[in-house]
Amino acid sequence: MLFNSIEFLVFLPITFVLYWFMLNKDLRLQNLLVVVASYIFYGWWDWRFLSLIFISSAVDYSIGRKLASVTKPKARKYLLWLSLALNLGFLGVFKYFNFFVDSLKDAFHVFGADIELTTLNIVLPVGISFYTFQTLSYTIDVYKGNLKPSDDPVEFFAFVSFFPQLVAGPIERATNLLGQFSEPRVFDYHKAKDGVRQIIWGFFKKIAIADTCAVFVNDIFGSYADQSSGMLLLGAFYFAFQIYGDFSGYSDIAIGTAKLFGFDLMTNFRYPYFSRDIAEFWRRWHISLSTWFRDYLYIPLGGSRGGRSSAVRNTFIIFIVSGFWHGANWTFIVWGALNAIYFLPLLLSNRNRRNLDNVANGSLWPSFGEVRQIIVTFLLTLLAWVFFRSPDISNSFEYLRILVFSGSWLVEFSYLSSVPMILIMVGLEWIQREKTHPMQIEKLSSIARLSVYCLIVFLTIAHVSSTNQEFIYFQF
Amino acid sequence: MKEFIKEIFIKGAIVLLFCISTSALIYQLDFDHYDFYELPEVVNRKNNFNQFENNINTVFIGSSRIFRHIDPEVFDSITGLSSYNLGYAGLFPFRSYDFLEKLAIEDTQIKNIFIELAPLALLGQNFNTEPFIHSIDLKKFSIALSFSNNEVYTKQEQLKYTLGYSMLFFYKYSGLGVSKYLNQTIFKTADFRENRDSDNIYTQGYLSLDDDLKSHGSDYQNLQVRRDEFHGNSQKWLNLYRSANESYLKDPVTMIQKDDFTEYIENVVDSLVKRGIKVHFIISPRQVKSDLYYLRNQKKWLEDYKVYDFSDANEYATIFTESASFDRVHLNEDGAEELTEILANLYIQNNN
Repeated sequence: MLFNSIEFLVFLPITFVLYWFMLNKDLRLQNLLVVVASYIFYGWWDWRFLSLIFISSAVDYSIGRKLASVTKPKARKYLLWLSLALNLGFLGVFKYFNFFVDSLKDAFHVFGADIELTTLNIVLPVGISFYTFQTLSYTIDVYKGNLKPSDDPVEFFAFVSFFPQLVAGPIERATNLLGQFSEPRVFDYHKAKDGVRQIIWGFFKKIAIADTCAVFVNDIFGSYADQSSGMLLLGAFYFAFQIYGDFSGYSDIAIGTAKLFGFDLMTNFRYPYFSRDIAEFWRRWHISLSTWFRDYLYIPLGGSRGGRSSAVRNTFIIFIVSGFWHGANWTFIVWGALNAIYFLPLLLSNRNRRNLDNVANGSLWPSFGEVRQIIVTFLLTLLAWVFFRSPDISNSFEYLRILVFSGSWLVEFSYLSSVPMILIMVGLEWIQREKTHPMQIEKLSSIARLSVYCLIVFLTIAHVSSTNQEFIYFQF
Repeated sequence: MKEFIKEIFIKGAIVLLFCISTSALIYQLDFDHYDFYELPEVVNRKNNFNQFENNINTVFIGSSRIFRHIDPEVFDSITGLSSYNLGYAGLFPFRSYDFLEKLAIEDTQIKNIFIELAPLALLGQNFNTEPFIHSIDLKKFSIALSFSNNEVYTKQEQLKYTLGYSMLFFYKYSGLGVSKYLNQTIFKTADFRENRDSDNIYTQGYLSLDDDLKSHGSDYQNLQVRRDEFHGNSQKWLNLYRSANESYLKDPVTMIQKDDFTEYIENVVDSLVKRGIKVHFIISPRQVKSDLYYLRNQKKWLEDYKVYDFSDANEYATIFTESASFDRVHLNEDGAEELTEILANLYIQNNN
């Protein structure tokens, strides 16, 4: 089920009413409703893949219980590897098998030997990368002793399948979300109100920004060989906002929906395009994934403790793995590697933790230097997004070659209709950059607040069209 | 909790009111964005027609039952006229009458216009698409509501029409997709939809369903399913149309008062008639019972016009056979040729 669908518009109020009015006296029933609603939500897309979530949940729950009773290190390690093998096995088969087979065939072809290998004709289950990482975090945390294993299967199944963030994150940690399922829930008026506001903002980003940009992006990337430099730059610019509007919009709707049910999910985006360097960008972009890799890959690999060479190696590993997480294509690997290259100078000069605060803290306007830093960082991400969006590496390089050398910087005026929406979004985000989301406008008068709601909802509705797209991150 | 829900409803109503009034205001602006919300196939049909209008003296307008059923080459070879098929799938009233107005036929050499007489239908699950949404306004909505109350329709059908048209009206005036109007005005936004090219087989005149299937076009799978579904149980469907006709002959329901929808049609075609253009109506074969009852009444109300009624399964038995059928609603190429020949011969009889 898509957030931007009529079905969800019916599903959400029904679930909300059942949750708070019918089952509010019994926590276990509320959790059971979360499981049932989540399975309906996911099954609406393809019920056959519910079995994957079910198996993944059942195995990790059982392994968690077993880890609680087993003390022998070898046996504990065996259990951890079992969970890793199963979860990553599903991911490997459904997401990466064909990529490895094709890459192997290509590699043999390069050396003049053609081999026959069969690829699988399978569909990638929506959100598999998200819930796989979520369940993995649970087993790893239990194994490390950072978390007490769950003794309530309903709670655990609700944690794995929690519908607001099931298919596109934020990738929650058991340490944050699982415990919330055992706490009695009391309706919090302010939290629910904030949730609704965040949902409104999420829909605005998805429909008025991402979906309108997508039409131009598809056209420009689809015929890039015939476009001017200016148009190709516009295509990359629009894609930067398409993917931001799409993914952060989804996260806002997810976090807002979770608030309606009394849950706090982690922040996934903190205005990344206001970053002053790439390190800051990665502290603000897809936070739940970058911190996941930091905690479960970078630190176990030794982080920066083994000196510069190991820090460089580990940085490359996490960026490349992070790229690969997005999809089974070399373009994502190059995208990850490119970000690692951007990041390295900051790491090596110990400047990667320089910009920990908000830009232009305490003042309305940024300094000239900050504007320059923001623009340079944005342009670097723009370059990387070309690889992310292109179908293959050669197309990415060709796109960039034409962008740099075609010479004409003219842009067709008819392609600029998404710019006003982007300016509205950037303007509101800039003013509200110290808030969790721009709709936190409690300080305004009630009339002003209502005017903002009217404007944002109208702009969102006005951009609903038959060209509205699925969320990009579903495919990851 | 109660306060939260109350606030959601009150603020939601205010926001909705804002959206409705803003979009109503935008729709009041003098824009002509027909080419942007109507299907590219229909728009290109209009553009193709404009290219050749000097050589054309007869046009056919209506849904797929015109598009797939009237072969201008066959028609012209019998009548000596020079005709163009402007029908397209789903081009029901009000869309078909909007299309007629956009063609500005008054300013052309057209002498004959054949219009499919069809009830105010909505196209299944696709009714809430932009062309349908934008074909409605307050006046047309009230016509649709009065049409929905027609006694020949069952309570269930009446409810379907009422809900369907109310949703269309709501979709439009809640502001859904209204940005397209503003963007087109300010930015002259490019059209990225499929089938924009004027050479596309769907953007030109008549195309039989058999030829469409052979071309493996964009609707290939759907056509196959529809064809197989019909031929799997053809007699059941054909008997349905036959029994609707029998039922009407046995027990016709006569609606005394002309309805708003028929008056609307008369108003639309009035200007054409005043300019010396001959307007003919066609009732396509294979009507379900309620539609057949309605159209037979409408035929009586439109007595000033020639109505070619092919819904009688006894009179036109040759086009109510499996061999003339593509699917349950449409004729195949042979059936279309047969129907066109009958129409052409009837036209000659009436004009001699």
